[in-house]
Formats: sequence, structure tokens, C-alpha cells
Amino acid sequence: VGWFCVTVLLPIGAPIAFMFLYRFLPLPKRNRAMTKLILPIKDGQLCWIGMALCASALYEIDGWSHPNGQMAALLYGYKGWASAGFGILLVACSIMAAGGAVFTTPVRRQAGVPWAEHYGVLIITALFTAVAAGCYTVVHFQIVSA
Amino acid sequence: MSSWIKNRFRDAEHGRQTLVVSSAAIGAVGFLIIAWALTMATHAGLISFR
Repeated sequence: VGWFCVTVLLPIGAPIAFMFLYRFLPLPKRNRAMTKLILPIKDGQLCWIGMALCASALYEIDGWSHPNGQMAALLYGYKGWASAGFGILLVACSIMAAGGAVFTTPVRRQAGVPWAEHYGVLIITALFTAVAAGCYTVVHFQIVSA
Repeated sequence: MSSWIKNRFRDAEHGRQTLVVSSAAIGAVGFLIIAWALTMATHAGLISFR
């Protein structure tokens, strides 16, 4: 649980938590309007965390974090496939992390546009990060229990 | 090809849609490969979820 909180929950939750704290600061009106909780994640920023999780998973799959390289033996025959999968997921996260910054999502939603359509980048990046976190958690705890 | 790309990214809204669809397709492939590798490793008795 400690590993999961520090490695997965903290990087995802900390920016949102600090954005919440900014609301209590005596900020100018213009800046106060920028303290919406969705702002730090609406343009695909979650994928930066997803990329870090994929990179860590690649590191662990290759057994570099284990003294005996045990994970390499555990996934013998499928290690390359697992690495390729995390590599492809990392590429997808990178596309969204960079592209989200280029095509930023407006804070205000146009009338008649559904929430899911307006915040499509946020939804897909949250999904990628959740998938990366889930797969990395499985890989990590296989090493711990080995 | 160039005009097709220009059309896909003609404004921010279409750019976002194109990014979401293309990266979702790539990400889905990555996830399926990881899931397949872990499933096969489980069936081969290399790893266990017990």
C-alpha cells in the first residue's frame, strides 16, 4: 500500500490537492479564476505521470531493479512482449502529453457540447494513466512476491 | 496525405479529436500486448496472482 501511495497516488493527487489549497490564498481575482481543480490535468498532463510509470515498469521488467534480475526469469519468453507493450503505451502517452499542450482545451464548455466530448483529452489521458498504473502495479508486485 | 493531415488538424477541436482517436488506438495496442504477455506468463506458470 505504501509503494502504491508514493509511486502512483501521490504524483496524480498532489497537483490537484495543491490546486485546492491555492483557493485559500488571497489571490487577485484574475488568478483566483484559474484555481479550478480541472486546470492542472485538462490538457493531458496526467500522461506525464503515465509516461513515468511506463518507464519505471520497463526498468523493472528488465530486472535492473532486482538484485538477481529475477523478473527477467519470471517473464521468460514474454519479457520482450511486456516491454514492447509498455513501450507502445509510453508512445501513446507521449503523443497525448505533447499534443494536449498544443491543442489546449478551453475551460468554458460551449453550450450543447457534452462534457465527455469537451474533455476528451482529459478522459483519454486519465484512462492511459490508469492502465499504466494498473499494469505497472501488477509487474511490481510480481517482483516483490518473487 | 499532407492535405489529409492539414484537414485533421484544421482547428484545435479537430486536432484534439484526432489526437484522442489516434493515441487511443496506439494505447489500446500497447495495453493488449501487456495483457497478453502477463496472461500467457500466468498460464505458463511463470507468474501467479494468488
